[in-house]
Amino acid sequence: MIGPWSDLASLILVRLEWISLAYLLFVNSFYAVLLLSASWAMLWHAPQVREENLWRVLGSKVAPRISMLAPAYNEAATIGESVRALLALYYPNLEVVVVNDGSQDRTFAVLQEQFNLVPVHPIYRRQIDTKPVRGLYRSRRHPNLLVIDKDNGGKADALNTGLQLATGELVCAMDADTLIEPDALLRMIRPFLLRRDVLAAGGIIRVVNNSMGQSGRVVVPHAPRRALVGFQVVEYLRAFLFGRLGWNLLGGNLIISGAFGLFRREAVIAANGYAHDTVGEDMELVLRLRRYGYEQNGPHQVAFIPDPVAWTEVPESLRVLGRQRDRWHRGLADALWRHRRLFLNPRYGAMGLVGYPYFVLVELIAPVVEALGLCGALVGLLLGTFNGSFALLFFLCAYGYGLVLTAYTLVLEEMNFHRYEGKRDRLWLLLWALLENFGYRQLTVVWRLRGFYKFWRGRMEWGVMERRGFAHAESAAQQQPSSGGDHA
Amino acid sequence: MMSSMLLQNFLLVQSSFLAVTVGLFLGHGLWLAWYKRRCQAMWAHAQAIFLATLAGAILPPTEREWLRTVPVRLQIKLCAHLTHNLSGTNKQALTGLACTLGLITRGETLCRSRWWWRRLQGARLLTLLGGGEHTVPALFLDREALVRVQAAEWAMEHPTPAVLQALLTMLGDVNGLCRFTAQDTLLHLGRVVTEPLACALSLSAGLQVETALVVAVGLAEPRFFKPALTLSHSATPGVRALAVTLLGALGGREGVQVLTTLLDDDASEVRAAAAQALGKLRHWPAAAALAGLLRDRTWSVRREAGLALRALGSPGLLFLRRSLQDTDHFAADMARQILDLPDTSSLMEAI
Repeated sequence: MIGPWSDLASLILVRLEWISLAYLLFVNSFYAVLLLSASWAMLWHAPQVREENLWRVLGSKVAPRISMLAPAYNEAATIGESVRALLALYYPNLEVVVVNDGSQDRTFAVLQEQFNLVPVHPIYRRQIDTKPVRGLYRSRRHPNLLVIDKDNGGKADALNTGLQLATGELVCAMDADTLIEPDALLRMIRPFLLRRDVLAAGGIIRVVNNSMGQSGRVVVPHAPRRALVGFQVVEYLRAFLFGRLGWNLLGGNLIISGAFGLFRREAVIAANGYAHDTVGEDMELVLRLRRYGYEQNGPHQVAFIPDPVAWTEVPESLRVLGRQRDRWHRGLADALWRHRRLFLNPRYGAMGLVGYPYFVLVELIAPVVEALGLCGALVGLLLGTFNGSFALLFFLCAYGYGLVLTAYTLVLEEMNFHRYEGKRDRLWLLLWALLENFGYRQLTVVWRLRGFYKFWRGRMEWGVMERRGFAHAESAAQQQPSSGGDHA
Repeated sequence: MMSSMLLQNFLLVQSSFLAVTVGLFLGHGLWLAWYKRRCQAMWAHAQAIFLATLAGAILPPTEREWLRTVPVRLQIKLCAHLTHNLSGTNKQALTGLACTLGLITRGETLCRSRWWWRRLQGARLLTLLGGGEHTVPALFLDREALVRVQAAEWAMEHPTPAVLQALLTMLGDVNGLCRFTAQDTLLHLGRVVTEPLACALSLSAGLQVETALVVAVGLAEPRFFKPALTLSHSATPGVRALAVTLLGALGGREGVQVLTTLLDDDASEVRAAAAQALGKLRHWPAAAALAGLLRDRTWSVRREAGLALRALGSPGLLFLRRSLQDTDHFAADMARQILDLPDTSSLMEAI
């Protein structure tokens, strides 16, 4: 009896490996296309920004108004510095809207003390249902600062409240603990002025851990010395410089990071704002906005611009990172499931025919296929179905390709931005890029599988994000996840 | 066996690729460090020469020759570093120095390139340093939008009649950034554009009129009154709304009459703009008509009407109080919201 079963197992395993191989070829070919697209986009972008005089926009009298939406929940330790950094952003027509989402600590008291708030009563239209607003306040010191005090309802609810009270033509959604570079908005506004069909734009998110900060700004970026953070730095660079930039030419992005994105306010309100019942509200919103744009024959493009920078803190423990990745994957699965009508639907142009299928076939099910491939190979080796040296070669090729992609992303970063200037920083980055594929990548597969499983079981909680505070240990703060989310 | 060979070859290609990318990454880093070290010393010396020249010193031939050996990129960077803080004779001195170094000629040559990024670079250089009167105007018609944008930026320092005309034409450009930059430049130029802009308002059509009206609203010169009156009867609601805003900024008996008529316009944006303009002009005889707009079906019109009534003072507040009893719940609600505003409450106490 053992003979036929063993034969059957071998047959299945061999088939499985062939499926894995075919999938790998498909994915890698797509990555190659993305790589070429990203390179082309960068080539096109570089002369546009070379010797560009950003100060001209700063003196503009007709620049569209931008409202920065900063939801805050239990952020008393950092809120003052964060808001001051926002108020210091270089932009001629800026409004800062801080939404205190029912914090239980001194967040609101700190705002009142530091910004001399007085109650105001703007007349606004309630177009999206949100938790009750307790009060609205404007700063006497900074007339462009509006503080909304409301009952706790989560990040999406806080953003929706801010959306309705903001007066800007464009709104910039961000986390209260994100550090935005002073000139980022001057760069982010570019696609909205250039093209009418752009309804949202995103900038690059970089990792702030281990970088020198001063007055809410990153002064000297450093490559992290801790492996877990280092892997994430490399991962973020790859996700933004290679992934999102590449999508600019292939039908546009489906994700704009919740930590830093600029949207047309009217479009977001027309699409009914952020969804409450999802953990991936940033991706869900972009999908809904784009879908709505296509259906209404309105603007439907989403642009990624590689030079506006926002800095964010990433998890430094496996436990927190695992929870974050699990949540991201649940968010991805949920957003894709809600908008399943897009799949290969020509009505939605490149988004339906290219972008959406890619996210389903590559981003969503990649961990499943990778796990199957790994397990299959392991069992095959144990059963003696596979040749050991062939399996090794196969995996070296598979992971080697990832390594080449990552190394190429580092080249893109180095040639265009060279943010990590020290020799040691470059070497550390390279080291993390080389090691990322061995161990860390497999861990992310496990976390994403867990997220997939949880989505399957219908679990949608956020989990808790622990932060150490930007650069300074003394400003370490622990935060609840409701508003200060973390996104890439 | 075949597949093993294939994988081995693939691995070989990958390894070569990896070696090249790693080499590029590290090599670029090393080159950058070397370049920075080299430039640091040059920068200090060159800056000292530049500052001395700007202070009025005559540039010795040896120093001039040395400056020419400095990499062009560094020369440009230094000029850019200094130019933002300079004006008048100092700026002229910098332009003269840039001319001596051949930077202006370089900019002009770049402006004539067949590659758009070079033309863009040239226009940026000339915007920074001055010059280019014979080359940049041609770039207003460039096929690349970014180059046209740069030409419009350059125009800020060169407001000749031909350049102004080119800027006004650019107000109708298909590209949003071109229109934006042209608007901005015209607004910065100020009164010098009044006459050509008034003519453009009378003669142009379509998108150009809308963008021109935004500039006119910003400048609010009495010369725009007649074109604004004419455009307030335009068939396009957007144009009518902007013309109404312009009339609100200019005032005048005839203008107020038109504004009062436009409170009944078909387009909600025009009604809202007319209400806002009348409030801004504090034209109290329009209070009754504005109170009628509290019943409008569009929220933005109701809000503007309410705020306009509040701006009118006592007559407006009387109508707002009366609207509290209105059978139309939307009108009563808006009146309540306006009356609840803190400033309105203090006004009410004063009455």
